[in-house]
Parts: sequence; structure tokens; C-alpha cells
Amino acid sequence: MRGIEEARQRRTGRQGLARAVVSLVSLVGGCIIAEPPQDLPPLPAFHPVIMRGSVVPPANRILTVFPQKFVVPVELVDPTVTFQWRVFIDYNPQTGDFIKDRGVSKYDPHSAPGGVRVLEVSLPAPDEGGPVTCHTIEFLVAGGFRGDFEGRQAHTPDNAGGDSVVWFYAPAGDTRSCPLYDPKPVQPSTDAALQ
Amino acid sequence: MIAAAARTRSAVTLAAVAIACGPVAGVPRTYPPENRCPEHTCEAYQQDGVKPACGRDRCEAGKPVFPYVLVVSVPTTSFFGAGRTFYVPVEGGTPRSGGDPSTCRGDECIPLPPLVTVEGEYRASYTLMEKVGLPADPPRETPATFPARVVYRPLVKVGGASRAPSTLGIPEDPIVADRRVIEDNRGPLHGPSVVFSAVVPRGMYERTLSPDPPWDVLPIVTTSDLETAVTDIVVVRDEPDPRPPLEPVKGLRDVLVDERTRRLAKLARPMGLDGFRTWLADAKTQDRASARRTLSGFSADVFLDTVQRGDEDSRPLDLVLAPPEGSLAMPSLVVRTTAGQGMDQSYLDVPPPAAVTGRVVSPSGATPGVRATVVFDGDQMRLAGSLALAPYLKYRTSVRTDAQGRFATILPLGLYTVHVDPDKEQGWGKNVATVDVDAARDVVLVPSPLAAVEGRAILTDGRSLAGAEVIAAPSFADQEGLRVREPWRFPREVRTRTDDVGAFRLALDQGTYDITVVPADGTGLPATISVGRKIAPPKPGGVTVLEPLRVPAPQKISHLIVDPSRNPVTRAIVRAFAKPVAQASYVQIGTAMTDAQGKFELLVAGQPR
Repeated sequence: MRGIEEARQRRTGRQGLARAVVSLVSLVGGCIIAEPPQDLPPLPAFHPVIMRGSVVPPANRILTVFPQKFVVPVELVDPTVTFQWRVFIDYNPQTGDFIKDRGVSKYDPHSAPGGVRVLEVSLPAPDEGGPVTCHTIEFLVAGGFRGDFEGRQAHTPDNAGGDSVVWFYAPAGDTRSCPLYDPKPVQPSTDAALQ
Repeated sequence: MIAAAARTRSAVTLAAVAIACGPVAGVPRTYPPENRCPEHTCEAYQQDGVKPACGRDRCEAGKPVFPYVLVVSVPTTSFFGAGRTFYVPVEGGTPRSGGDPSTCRGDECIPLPPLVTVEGEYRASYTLMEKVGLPADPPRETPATFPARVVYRPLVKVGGASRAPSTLGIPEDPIVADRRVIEDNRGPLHGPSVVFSAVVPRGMYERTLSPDPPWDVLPIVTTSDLETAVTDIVVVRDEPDPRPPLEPVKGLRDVLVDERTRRLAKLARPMGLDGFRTWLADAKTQDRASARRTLSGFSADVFLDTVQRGDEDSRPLDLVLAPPEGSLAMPSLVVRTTAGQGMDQSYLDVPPPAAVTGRVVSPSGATPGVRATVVFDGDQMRLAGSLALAPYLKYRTSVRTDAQGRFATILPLGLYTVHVDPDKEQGWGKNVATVDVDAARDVVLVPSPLAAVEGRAILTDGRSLAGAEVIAAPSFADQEGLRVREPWRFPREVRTRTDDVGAFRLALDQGTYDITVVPADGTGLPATISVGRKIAPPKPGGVTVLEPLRVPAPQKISHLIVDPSRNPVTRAIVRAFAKPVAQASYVQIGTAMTDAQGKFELLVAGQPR
């Protein structure tokens, strides 16, 4: 009798162990079943794109009146991203000076679809009495900017790149100090030709 | 007993599985309130005017009945009107674009007017050229042609009168004409001609013709209420044409400079006037209103010709005597003239300028200093050999500080109002100081702390407005000209977002602001502006609490924009401007972009207050 009882106890113990193992497996397996299917492939890195044709005022002519507001529509591949914008007037590449405003545009889950966000920024007019007669207004957008240090506001987008639109403002219509691009090749000097 | 233990273990295991794999308890998240019906009853909105009613799943309070102006900026990529701006006044819900109404019918559709090419010339008679010192050799009977800068300012018809948009506080998009030289053998004005031309939307304009230097000794001609004309040859004369052409010349317009509009300035300077320039400027806008003359010698009597700016004209003029271009630290003489009085002036000798150095430091004294723009605006200067301050002599300059807050400049001796404009990131506010420069000076300037301002945005149905953008922008009411001429007088724009209970906090300069609450897109709620909010100078530890900004159920503006060929105008930026109650200047009440069908929809909050 005692042998039979011991055998039953051993069988019961094995059954309990087996139940515990099955329970553990079902616990783990049950949670694995709830795991979501494989993620979609991520979007490639991209940067916000300014719809240059629709910016206000148009950027294809020199401004003689400083606008109350600059309106910049920005198109996004992924409408859920957050991006940054910065505005410089007469940016000084040596000192990183003359940032006039900056901000962050965030995704709004209630936003209408379409992937276009319209930014409106009002800026203080540059001093007309100053030494510069043609001012350069740069509006930059990027996922992020790099190189901010010592109070300087960087002008460089992060690795995904950025976009910009530039206006030239010459209140007196004097465009002599507006930046020029001269693609003419450098001519050899007359002296060189004589030699 | 063993079976009972096994059942217990099984039950515990099942419970553990159920708990482990059960749904995770959610954390409540705050979303911006939405204007949705019938989830929210429209009767809950407590607001004046039309009571909101449920329409297309949101509460709307009808359409605006107050007058407003739509400013349509056509993209530069558009087939029609690329880069042009169209002004569409809307009164009683009916848009008046100036377009052909047969293009599309109904108040929903806005037909844009066609573009027209306008051309013209600026000419002057030889007798006038002789009088202003231009070479007229050999003298000819036909007036000479001159290159001129030609600007078309659009006029908007509101309240029965045509006004330039900038005088209403509406953004202005002037059009500058192109120029070319042609050989014209078609009529009595044969010979080379400098022709200006521009492509403009059909409508009303104010046109200004300013001859280029060195021909700017000829008068500026401004024509108001100009209906778009195809050809317009302006001939400036000092006397009526003695021999008018036998055949009428199309578009010929004689403009007479006579004794009523000609002003004689008698100017003197003991140290000589060589290179000095003089002109008359509109006292309000400071735009040049007359010919500009360059002087020489110790005294000069010069005619400053104007057109239509006689003594009977109510707009005052300032006589300006400016030092030679490129001169350093020399003030200008600016005197208000009245009915021809004030045209005899002497520019008295001023002492040599002084070096002014200094630093902009934070009120806490922390180092390094503050990066800032410093504007020196002086309107009383010292004269040589005298400690007295002479009015009418003015000088203005601006400098930037370096990373340590240091600056250096040279100023004529005088009394200056100094505007300190710290960079936004520095965390300090604008400040104004008075500096008497009577010798070389080293000055320390201190920006002001920013004023702490708190407020709350709520809907008129009592819900808190979370997740809205709050923009505090300087108020330019009736000061549009100063916005550009003296921008340092105005506070800076600041923006933030409301928190879960609609509260917000701003750090502002002292000044007057228009505060706009922009609810999140897609919530069906309108941007709401509150104008003329005055922010007092900051007090230590003090907080300015604004009255709650109340956002009502929206009024809807929706239109379709088409070109004269009935094609939709896509991706155009449309901005709406309205005049606040008891204010003359318009403010922006909404922005939208047209879709692929040329349609747009704007939700506005009624007439601004």
C-alpha cells in the first residue's frame, strides 16, 4: 500500500510539474500572440520643403516695402513630424549673429490631412538708417539645427538637411549693395599675355 | 486534498495569465476641445450676434456680415497672375474683386480681374530742364525722355473711398515697372524713348514716377486714383505747351509745375554746402515729395519743384538738408514748412563728433554682457562754441554689441534717445534711455526685465482651450509708417501654447499688443484676436493677468477663386483683414490656402475687438 501511495504521489508531482511548465509556456506564448505584426519599413530621412511658389511676399523680386508678415507654406513627406524654423536678417557667417526669430512646428493630431503647414512670422523691419541698403532675409526650415553654442544660433540643418527661402529688401530701391553672383571666368592678366 | 491543491494552482495560473495579458489601463490624455455637434450642443455657446447652429457636424454662427478684405497672393508658379496680389473687399457678404461677373456667378465665386500691361514715359520740357540746370543742348521743341523709377500702389475701395492698403494696415504689394529704351518713330515724340511698362491686375492705382539720379532734379509726379491705362506719357512743363501737337498724341498728359507748387529754398552754411542735398519730404511718411538738388558754395537758392503739393494741399512738408552721401557723424537739418514759411534756413556749424563707447549689461550685473542692437536717435544737436541745444538738427545711427555687450561709435554732440533692443535669446526686454553726448563718453546701458503676463483661453461655451497657439504681436494700429521707419519703438512678437486648462504665460516687452489665439487645426474653432492690449512696465515679482480670451463658435468664409479663363487658382495664400470695433486700422483675422479646386475655407471669430 505504501509503495502504491508513494507511486501516486510521484505521479501527482510529475503532473504538477508538467502543469506548471504548460502554464509557464502558455503565459509566455499567450503574450507573444498579442505582439503586433512586423512594423512597416520606416520612411527614409527627409527634410521639410518650402513651397517657394506660394511664399508671401513672392521671393522672385526685390522687396521695396518690408512686409507685415512672411507667410511660408511648408510641405512634409510625413505630416506627423516636428520641425524647426529660423529667420535671419543679414546673417553674419563670422559671428553667427542676427537671428530674428525661431520656432518649432509640431504635429497636431487634429490637423487636416495634406502635409502642408503654413507658417506666419512677423519680423521687425531692419533699420533703414543703417549702413546696409539691401537686407537679406533668410527663412530656414529643418528637422533640427546643429552647432548652437555660446549663444550663437546655428544656421546649419542637421544631417537630414533643410530648406530655405531668401528675400532681398532694398527700401530705397537701391540694389547696389545686394549680393551679386558673377559667373564670368577670371581673365588672364595682360601682363601674363605679354610674357 | 491533492486535487484541490492542483485546482487552486490552475486557478492562480489562469488568473496570472489573464492579468499578464489583459489590457493595459489607459492614462487619460488631454486633447484640444473640438467644435463638434451634436456631441456638444451649439446652444452652449454664449455669444452675441447670430446664434450658432449645427451644420455639417460643427456649430457655425453663419457668415460674417461685417466688411472685410481678402488679400489673395497668387503663387509664382501659377499660370495666371504669377506672384501678383489681388485685393477683394467684401461688404454684406458680396465680394467685389473687379473681375468679370460673367466668369462665375454667386457670392461663393471670386473671379479675379485680368492682367493688363501698362506703359508710359516720363518727359520734361526743355524750358524746365534749363531752369533746373540740366543741359538742354541743342534745345528742341519736343520734350526730352528720362529714366524714372515707376511704382504702382494698388488702391482698395472700402467704405466708398479708394485707399492704399498700407494706410489701412493691410499688407501692400507695390509693383515696380520695368524699363527699356526704344526708338519711336510713330508720332511727334519721335526719337529714342525710355519706356516703362508693368503687368498689373486691372483696377485703381496710385502711381509715382521718380526720375533716376542725376535727373532727380526733376519733380516726382504722383497720380492718384489712376484707372489702369494702357499708355500714359507724362510731360512735366513749367509753362503750357506753346505749340501743342497738331495731331493729338494718345495718352499724353501734361503736368504743370507752376508758382503754386514750386518752392524756393534759400540755404546757407558757413562751412560750405558742397555735396549737401536738399528736398521736400512728406512730414507724415518722410517720402520724398519734390525734386532733389545737390548744392555747392556757401549759400544756394534752389527751386524744389513739386507736383500738386501747393499751399492749398493739407499735407505738411518738411524741408530736408542732408550732408553729402558717405559723410560720417553729420546731422541733417529737418524743418517743418507751413504755407511756404520755413524755406530760408542756415545750417550752423557743429563741433567735431565724439567717440562714444559702452556696454550693454544685464540688470543683474552678470557677465558677459548682452548682445543687442543699440539705436541712437538724436533730434537736438550742439552748435560750435555753444552749450545750447539746437532743434531741427537730427542724427540717427544704430550699432551692434559684441559677445561681451560692447559697442563703439562716433556721434555728433547732442541729446539722444537711446533704444536698447536685446536679442530675443538673451531673455531681456527693450529699454529706452537718454544720453547727453557733450564730449567723448563711455556709457552703460541696461535692458529692462520682461513683463510676466498670464492669461487663459476659453471657449464661449465654458470649455478650456488647450493646445492653442497664442501670439502676442505688436499693435501697429494707425502707425503703419512707423513700423518700418522706426521699428525699435515697437515691442517684439512672442508666441506660446496654452496648457491643459487653457492657461498660458508670456514674457513681454512693455507696449501695446494684438493677442491672437489660434486653436489647433481641425478643431473647427476660429482664430480670435484681441486688439490693443497694453502691457505696463514690469514690476519686480509682479504678474500682469489678462482678461480671459474668449473663442466663439466660428463664422465661415468660403469661396472659390478663378482666373478670367475660369481656371481655379490653386495654392494661393488668402488672408482676411477686418477693422476692429472703434479702430481705424485693419487686422488679420484668418489665413488659408486654396486647394486643387481653387477653394478655401476660413473660420473667423466675428468682428475683432
